[in-house]
This record gives sequence, C-alpha cells and structure tokens, in this order.
Amino acid sequence: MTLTELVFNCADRREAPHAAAAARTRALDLFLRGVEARALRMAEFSVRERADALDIVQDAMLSFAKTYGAHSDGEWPPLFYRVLNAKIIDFSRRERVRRGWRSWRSLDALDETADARLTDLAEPGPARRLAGEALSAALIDALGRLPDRQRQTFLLRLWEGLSVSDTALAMGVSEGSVKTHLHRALHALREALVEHR
Amino acid sequence: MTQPRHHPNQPIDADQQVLVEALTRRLHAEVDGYDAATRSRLNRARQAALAAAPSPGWAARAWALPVAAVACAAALALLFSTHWAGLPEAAMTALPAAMPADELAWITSAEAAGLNRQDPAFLAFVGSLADDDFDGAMP
Repeated sequence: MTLTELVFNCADRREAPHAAAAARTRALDLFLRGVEARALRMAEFSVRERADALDIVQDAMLSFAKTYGAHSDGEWPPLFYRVLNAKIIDFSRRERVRRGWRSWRSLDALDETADARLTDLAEPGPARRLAGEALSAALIDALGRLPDRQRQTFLLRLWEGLSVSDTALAMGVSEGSVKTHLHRALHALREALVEHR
Repeated sequence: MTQPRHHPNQPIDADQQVLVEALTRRLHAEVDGYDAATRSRLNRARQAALAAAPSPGWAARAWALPVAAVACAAALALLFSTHWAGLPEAAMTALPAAMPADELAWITSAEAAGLNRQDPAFLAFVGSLADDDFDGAMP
C-alpha cells in the first residue's frame, strides 16, 4: 500500500461516521417523504379536520424519528404506521373526552361511532372535485364508512402494501385479525359497489 | 354488518381486484392533489422530525456510556479502598526507622519529664543527643 493510499484510507475512516450519519438522515428523509401524504390521507379518514390530521401526522413523524430513527430502515414502515395509529387513537380519545362522551367502551367501540365521525369527511375535498369520478367517489365514501380497523387494514395492506405480519405489527393485532378485517372490508366495499350500480 | 362469505385466507378474487385497483387509484389521485399549503406543512413537519432524530454515531456509541460509568466507579472504588486501607499500616511501618514508637512515648511522658528535672545524667544524655546523630538506640 502506498503512502497516498494510506492517507486516503485514514481520511475515509475519519469521514465514515459523518458519511453514515448523512446517509441515515437522507434515508429517513426519503422514507418520511414517501409516506407523509398517504399518512395524512389515512389520518383524514379518522378525524374531522385536515388541520387535525396534519397535527397527528406531525406528531407521528416526530415521535417516530426520535424513537425509531436509529432502527434499521427495513423496520420503519410498520413502526411508523404503529406510531401513527397510536396518535390517531390518542386524538380520538381526547376528542371523546372533549365532547363529554364519557363512557367505558373499549377501543373497538370506536368502530360504532365511525359513521357519525366520518359523515363530515364525505364533504368533497379539492382532490375529490378534481377527479370527479362517481364510482370511485362512492368507493371512497364506502371506505370512509368502514369501521376503523377494517379501513386501516385495507389501507395498510392494499394501499401501503405492508405484509400481513407488518400490518399486524402496525395495528397491534394478530395476523389472523388482519386477515379477518381485510376480508370483511373487501366484502363491505363490494356490497357498496353493488348498491351503487 | 354482514359477515363475509369467504374464508379470511382466501386470496382476493377478480372482482375484488378491480375494486382495490379503483380505490387505490383514487386514493393516489387524492394524495397527489394536496394543495401547496398542505405540502408545505408536511415538509416543515418532516424537517422537524429529521432534526429530532438521534445521530447514528451517537446511537452506535450509546453502549459505551454505561460501560464507561461502571469502569470509572470501579477505578474510584479501587483508589479509595487502597488509600484508606493502606495508610495506617504504612504509618506504623514508617515509625521504627526514625524512632521506636514506645521510646518516643516514654521520652514525652510525665515520668520522663520528672526525671528531666531530677537526674543530671539524663539531662546530659539528652544534651548529647543534640550533638550526635541520633540512631534510635538508647544508652
């Protein structure tokens, strides 16, 4: 090894930690850039206002970066959606308390109130006006009327493309529950499609 | 809600595939249609998250902190234990080289003080010590 190579190798070793840090930050940036808009749409299904959904996504990104930023990037998708899911549930709980809905119902009871909460979401947004397709709009409405768990399963599995195990991890349920929720969601959506026709 | 007629493990059929494609296409269109203000807010949120992310270098060296703390505690414990345990023994072993401790105690005792006043020979002996090098031996 020549002296020049030795010097360059030493310089590379000194620069390696900085290069790794920059690469990790770049990877995290790319990941968040890729999921942020879809995460916002998922949050919009669960809360009334886009501003609330933006707050939820911001909280989720911050918590995710702090807690899981140093994890392997292969682990990020289910962990991010797990954090997002927790933030949505926290928001829903706060909303229920704020509205004086004091009850001892479990999280699954959120499904029962989905219709009431999602009625406002049927208002057409800019993107919906832009597309203007009656059928897909009906499907979006049907998706919005699904119980939270079924809709989350549909979005994570078939829109986000997570595996069954990653979806289960993100939602904090068993893989069997994921399969059941997904098939119920698909069945309900098909029924909605038939009714629309 | 009506229960599904299909087993959960059954793969998606053709009808469902069409439905899924239509829905995901619509969802993508909605996401692509977010306005500039929403995009800007998402961008700011992302930058804040990136700033809060832990440094990979720090994460890689995080294991060293407890190890260093334990090593420091062990070194301090060793230092104090050898210092406080070794000091009396060292002091006791150092005295005989200069003067036996019992002889020193006798010379400074009240009895010796009485002799100092009464015995001229003792006073002469003590005076001679000032002139000669004292080697610790009594006459």
